[in-house]
Amino acid sequence: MKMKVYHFEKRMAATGLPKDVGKCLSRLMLSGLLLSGFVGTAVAQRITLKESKSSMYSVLEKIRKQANVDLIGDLALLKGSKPISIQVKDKDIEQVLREIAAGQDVDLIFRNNTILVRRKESLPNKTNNDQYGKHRHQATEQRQIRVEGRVRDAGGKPLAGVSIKILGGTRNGVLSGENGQFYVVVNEPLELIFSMIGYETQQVKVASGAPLQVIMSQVENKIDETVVTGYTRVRRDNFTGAATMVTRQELEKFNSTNIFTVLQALDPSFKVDERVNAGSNPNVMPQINIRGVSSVGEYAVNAPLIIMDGFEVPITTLYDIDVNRIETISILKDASSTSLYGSRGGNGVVVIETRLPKDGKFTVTYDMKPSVSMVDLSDYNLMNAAEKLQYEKLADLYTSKSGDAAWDLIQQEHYNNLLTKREQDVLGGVNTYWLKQPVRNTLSINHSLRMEGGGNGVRYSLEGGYFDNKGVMKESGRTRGNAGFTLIYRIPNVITFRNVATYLYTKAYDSPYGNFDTYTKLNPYEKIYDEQGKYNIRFGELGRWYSWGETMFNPLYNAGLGFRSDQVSQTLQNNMSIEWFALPKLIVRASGTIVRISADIDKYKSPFHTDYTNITDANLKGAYTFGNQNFTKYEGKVDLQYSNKFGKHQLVANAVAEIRKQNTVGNLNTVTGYVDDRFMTPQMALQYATGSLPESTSLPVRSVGFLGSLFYTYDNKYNVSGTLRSDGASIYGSQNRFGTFWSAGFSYNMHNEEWFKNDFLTRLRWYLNAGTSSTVSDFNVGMVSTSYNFLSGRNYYNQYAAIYSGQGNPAVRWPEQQQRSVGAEFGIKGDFLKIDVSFYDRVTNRMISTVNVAPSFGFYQNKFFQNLGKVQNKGFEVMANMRLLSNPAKDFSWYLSLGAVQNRSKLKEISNELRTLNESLVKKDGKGNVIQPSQYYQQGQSLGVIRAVPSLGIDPANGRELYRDRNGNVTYVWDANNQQVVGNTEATLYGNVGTSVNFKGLSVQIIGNYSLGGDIYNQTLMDKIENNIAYQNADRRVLEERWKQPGDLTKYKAIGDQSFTQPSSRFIQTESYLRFSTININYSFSNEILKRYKLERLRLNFSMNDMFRWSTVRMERGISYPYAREFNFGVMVQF
Amino acid sequence: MKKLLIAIVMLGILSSCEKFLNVNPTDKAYEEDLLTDRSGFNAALAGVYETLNTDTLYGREMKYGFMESLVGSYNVTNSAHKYYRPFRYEYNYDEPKKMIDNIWARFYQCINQTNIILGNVDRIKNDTYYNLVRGEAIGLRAFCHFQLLKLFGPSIPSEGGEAKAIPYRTAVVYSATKFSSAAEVIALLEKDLSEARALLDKDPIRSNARDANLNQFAYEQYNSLIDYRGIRMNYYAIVALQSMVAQWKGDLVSAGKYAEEIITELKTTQSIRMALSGEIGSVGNTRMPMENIFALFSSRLGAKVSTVFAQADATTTSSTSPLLFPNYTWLRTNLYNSTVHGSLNDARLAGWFVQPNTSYPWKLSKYLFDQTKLPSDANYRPLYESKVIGLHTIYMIAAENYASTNPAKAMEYLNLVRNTRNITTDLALSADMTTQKIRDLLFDEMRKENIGEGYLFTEYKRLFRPIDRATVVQPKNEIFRLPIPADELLYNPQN
Repeated sequence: MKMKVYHFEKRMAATGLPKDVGKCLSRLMLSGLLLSGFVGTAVAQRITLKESKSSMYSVLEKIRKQANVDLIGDLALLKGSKPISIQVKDKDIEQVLREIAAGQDVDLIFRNNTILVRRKESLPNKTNNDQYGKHRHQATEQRQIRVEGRVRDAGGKPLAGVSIKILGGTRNGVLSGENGQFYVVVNEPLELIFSMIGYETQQVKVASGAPLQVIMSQVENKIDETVVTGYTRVRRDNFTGAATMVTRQELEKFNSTNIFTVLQALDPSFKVDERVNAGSNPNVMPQINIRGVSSVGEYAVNAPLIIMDGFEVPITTLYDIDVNRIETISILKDASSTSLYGSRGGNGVVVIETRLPKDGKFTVTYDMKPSVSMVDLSDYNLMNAAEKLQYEKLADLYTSKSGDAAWDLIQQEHYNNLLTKREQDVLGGVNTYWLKQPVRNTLSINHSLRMEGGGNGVRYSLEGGYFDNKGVMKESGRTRGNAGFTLIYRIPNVITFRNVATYLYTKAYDSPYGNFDTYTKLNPYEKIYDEQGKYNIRFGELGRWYSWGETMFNPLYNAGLGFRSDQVSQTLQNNMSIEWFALPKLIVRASGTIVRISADIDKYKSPFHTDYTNITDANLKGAYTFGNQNFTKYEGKVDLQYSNKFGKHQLVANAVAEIRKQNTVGNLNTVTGYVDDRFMTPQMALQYATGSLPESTSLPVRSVGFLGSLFYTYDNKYNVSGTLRSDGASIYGSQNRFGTFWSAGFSYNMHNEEWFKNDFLTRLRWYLNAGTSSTVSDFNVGMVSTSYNFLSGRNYYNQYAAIYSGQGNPAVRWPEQQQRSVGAEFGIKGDFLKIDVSFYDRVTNRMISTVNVAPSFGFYQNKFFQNLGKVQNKGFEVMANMRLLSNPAKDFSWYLSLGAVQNRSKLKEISNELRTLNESLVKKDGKGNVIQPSQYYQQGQSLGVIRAVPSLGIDPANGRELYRDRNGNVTYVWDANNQQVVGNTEATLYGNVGTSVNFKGLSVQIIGNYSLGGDIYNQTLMDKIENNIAYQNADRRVLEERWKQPGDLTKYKAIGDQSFTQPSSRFIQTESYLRFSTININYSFSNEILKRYKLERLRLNFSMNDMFRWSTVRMERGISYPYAREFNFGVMVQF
Repeated sequence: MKKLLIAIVMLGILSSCEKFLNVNPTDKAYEEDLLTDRSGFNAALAGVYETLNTDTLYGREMKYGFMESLVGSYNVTNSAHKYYRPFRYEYNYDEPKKMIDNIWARFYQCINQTNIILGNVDRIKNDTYYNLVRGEAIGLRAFCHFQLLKLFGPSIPSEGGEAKAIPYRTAVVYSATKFSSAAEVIALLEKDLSEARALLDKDPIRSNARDANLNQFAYEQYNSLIDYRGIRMNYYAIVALQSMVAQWKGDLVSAGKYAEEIITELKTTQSIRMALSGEIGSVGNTRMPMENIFALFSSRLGAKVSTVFAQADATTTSSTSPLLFPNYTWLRTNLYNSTVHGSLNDARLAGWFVQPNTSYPWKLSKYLFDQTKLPSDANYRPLYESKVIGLHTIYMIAAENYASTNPAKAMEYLNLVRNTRNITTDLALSADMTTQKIRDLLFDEMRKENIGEGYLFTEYKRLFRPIDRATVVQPKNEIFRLPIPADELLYNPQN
């Protein structure tokens, strides 16, 4: 038995990527060995060449280009060839090839527009081989079977790179070409093995004759779907809990610069707050939580832990990261994996792995994402000049009511003049749209460049990015720049060394235009400029003694003054790890990180600013605040991993020890007294701000952790996991230095049981787990220990005084979370329908909060920290993915996904302190009016309840609000004691819904978020329609929908009533919304085009964020900073 | 063996962990780091005195600000004036409410600070000065409670001792303390004071001058406990407090006994003494600092008073000024130059009021001084003292008791203090001098002495006397009993 196979060297076949030849080779490598014999006939190609002592490769390359043919086969052989000198003119290609191959160790065969390189068999055969083209039939006669054919996937798409081997053969096989073709020559009938990662391996019996048509079927979820826990990688099938994985491919589709948007769209349990206030301010970090809120009150910590390449990073790092750097994101949700993080994992963990350099040829990737932000003012519906004036007249603002007759006489005259002037102005066409003044539409471009390559065990990558994210408020934005260098050195099965150095630059700069809210209040009949074209600075002033409302200032005037407000932070981080394969079954990993973040803060306010209107002392005008904050962290860990496989048993055990030391130190100074905006530096100030001292920060944290974890799998069916962790940290206080956390989990892959296998339910696995973890990130020594300050000038005679500055409570302990989850994954008919369901029950014990106490305690600021009670979060998550249409022949597919989450929180136990805390949560303004409904906490109740006085609506007779008191009586009097639970902010169901359509290279993805049935206290309704200051502009409904005369049936109180509206059930609304958070359109260019431009990849992306929002509740959103709609464009080129 | 080795290694790791983990932020000092040696306790005690020195307490409101505005020494007619509402006892307005709430909270904060000290003080049990630290802390705790009792508790002649008064906090506890009755508070005060008195039995002030510095060598670590005892909660201050508490309770005999104890002992030690009529004219003696049994020292006093009182040569008018001006003419006619007991020679009338020329209003100049005269100069140092308990008061307490039992002695004490104030004409003990009449004379003497001291309001309250001001104000519980802060009632409900 003799066989002929055009083979590759082993390592090439294994990696699928060549190492030592130029970039084009990798593509050629995949381009198949042979085209099918009957596809057309070869047109004789003519070659003209003149070479002396060139390498065979370069000569062939030239021929390839000239003849526009393919070059395939065992190209590594070309390396050992002798230099070639040749001179031909317009000669047949086959002859030329023969000439070149003469005297070399290789054969060059030309067939079907392809040059085939192979090893010379033996000298006697040389002639035969040289004459191969002419004598191919001869080979068959010599009992050699020539097998050719094509490999396709189930959808009929040609598959390249399928490995084809002879069953039982010792030699290496061949790979299928670009169009799925292959060609082998074997000696006698045999079986061939077709294999490829991600596809079921097939054996095919070979008989001579017709070309083989091999269909490879895809293996579902069998490969590489792993959950990265930050400590280990676990195959999804062997995992015992719930986690969401996001891969690069998905991130690329999103084309977004904001990672939070992406995660929210992909996992409904990852919740980003609505930001009613901050709008689209790029400098305000969104609040996020996973699976609900576990603590309430001033010091509530609900943000998950962010782990990047094994080490904790601040949430700002995730916010500012260049999305192109990310390889995978895992969102760990339940105890089976969060317990690995012990004291830090209680709110869930987001694990990010950055990209590793690819082995092989050098590639450059450039990604450009221009994004357009369009300001969205559609939530605003303010009165115009004429309407505002009409409202003012109805609200009776032009009648002097001082109570002093003589005074009234003069003031009334002023008022009359003012009204006349305004009426004339309005008639004259004055109608200033103030909202438009401080905003703009912006174009920001994100650039990202990555170079990578390597070989012989060394791999490296170099990356850089720059993004100036311009905000929609004029002159505000956030600039980010990053650079990174990764180096990997590997001796297979001995050692892996990895070093990642990164630099991140962020500059957050605020708008000189100030708070957007100011512009919503300015009256539209006021003019921005006076007759001379200068700014009108003050509005509504009537001279020294008389006034009409409070004087308002023109913020545009202030915006034109000297201004600075920025924070620059620079992060330098180096991660290093060494993996040592100490014994065949034992791996030792050591890793360490050094991080340094330095932030500089600069804020300048001009001495001409209207805030200094009544200040004459030059020493006090203008201010400059400057300071810095430096964060330093050292962290190291050692990990011993033992893994063994015996029979059907598989075991992975880890023992980890960690140590961490970090500190934040900083100082902040304020100087005052500026004479001119030209000198905006601290040293030009006249003095330090009166009574000011540097504000210092010092937040040292040291911690150690010991962790043991175990994964056991039997026959890929039963999986068991367990972890035990002990954490010690300086911030726990000396009383309770260490805490212990555990978890246990089990999962069962029923679909792997023989008795289960069926065609309908192709996948069914379920899991359950339980464990504990904690959240201590905001825990600090000040909570447990009483603190003192030393202040300059605060001495008692000759003794420096320790100024009491904080009350500690030695009894307070960090909170603990106990979590139990069960879940299941169903797969119906392969990937036709996939459903993941999980239920969880998370109990937070010892939730920490500040407790307000009676002043007779004598505590600093009348508060201290206390463990308050027990909170339970129960809920479920369902994710479904369905293939609506799939037509592989046309390369078309359409998927639909739906996610639904319900979370119900409940206060299980309540301490006495929390009962008193209830009272303190009533928010009051300076005059003692209640301005916001408090969240009252009561045992057995949800944490999201809203309390207010039940309202019976507006009395049509007089426009006053009617309330029902606690005894059921009807009253006009609002009394805080009558407040009841009138709503619950927890939605009945929320989640995401999405669809994606793929057609050839085009993919369109639309993802929306929805929420059903949560109550909302419409604060803006109350603030802008009833508690509006009549002298300022407000929502149009103030004019249109407030009560005007007896008999009016309205929702809002009398138009002239300027009394303060206190929380009542009138403002509770049930909100359901649907918003199109993301629309992604991507187009990947086909291989033909790539080939033409010699590119590896070319992709065009387009995405839109926050396009539409339908809601049952209309409220002003984006109060201090407006919302923006985002359009992102993107080009990604790899070559 | 192997197990033992592992155990030892583990132990080693854990103990070094413990050390590694023991780190606290450096922008603050923490209880467990600060209160470990005497210097830490000295700093913490200084912190209590400094708290007493804040604007809310003896830096203004408890002294010449809020408390004094309640007795009609000033003339506040402008409704925009900060003290307009207190001047009219309209406690429900924001301005006075804030002042009252702050006084309450700040005194309790002092109490909490002393309780923190007392909770840790046993760590320096072997220190020579342990008794001084502990005695001062207990004394300060009693002092603060006593002030609160006087302001927020009942007027005993009107409501009796069983009326609800204030919470008495004797330790740092994390739960609310119920209000005690006035009698219960007084019992607790007596207990604290006698304990403090025992601890301060060897107070250096009993054998040294009130401003003596016993730190002998500059190279030694400075010990503030033995420097300038007159500005600290010293032995005599404790006895004076015992006397005052007894007086508040209505037990004049005990009050007189304690007062007499002080008077007798000080006659020999002379560490605190009455002023001599010849020395009161000199700079530094304006407020008779040699009589201060307990004073607070504040290097910021000059700066603080200038935000309340007009400078002597200032040309502001009183009606629109935010500053305070004395009701001079009325005080002069009805008090200092009263036909019964007054005299224009009264050093207080001559030395404490000033008028640059007749076209500008009179000013209270008692606290004003040239701020270039620094506390580092021993001659000017007393200018920075602010009296809390004076020897004059002790004589008055003793005399008040003698008024019924030994009228001659009462008149002797009254004339003694009058002489030190340059009133040379003694008041004779005539036949019509009833006990009440003597007490009225004593009261007027108190009024003259305590102008701008914030002391008189509680004296009116103690005796439930009509407040003698331009328009006499009849005694009423609503006036005498400052309202308990709303937050206290909210977070410390009483039923």
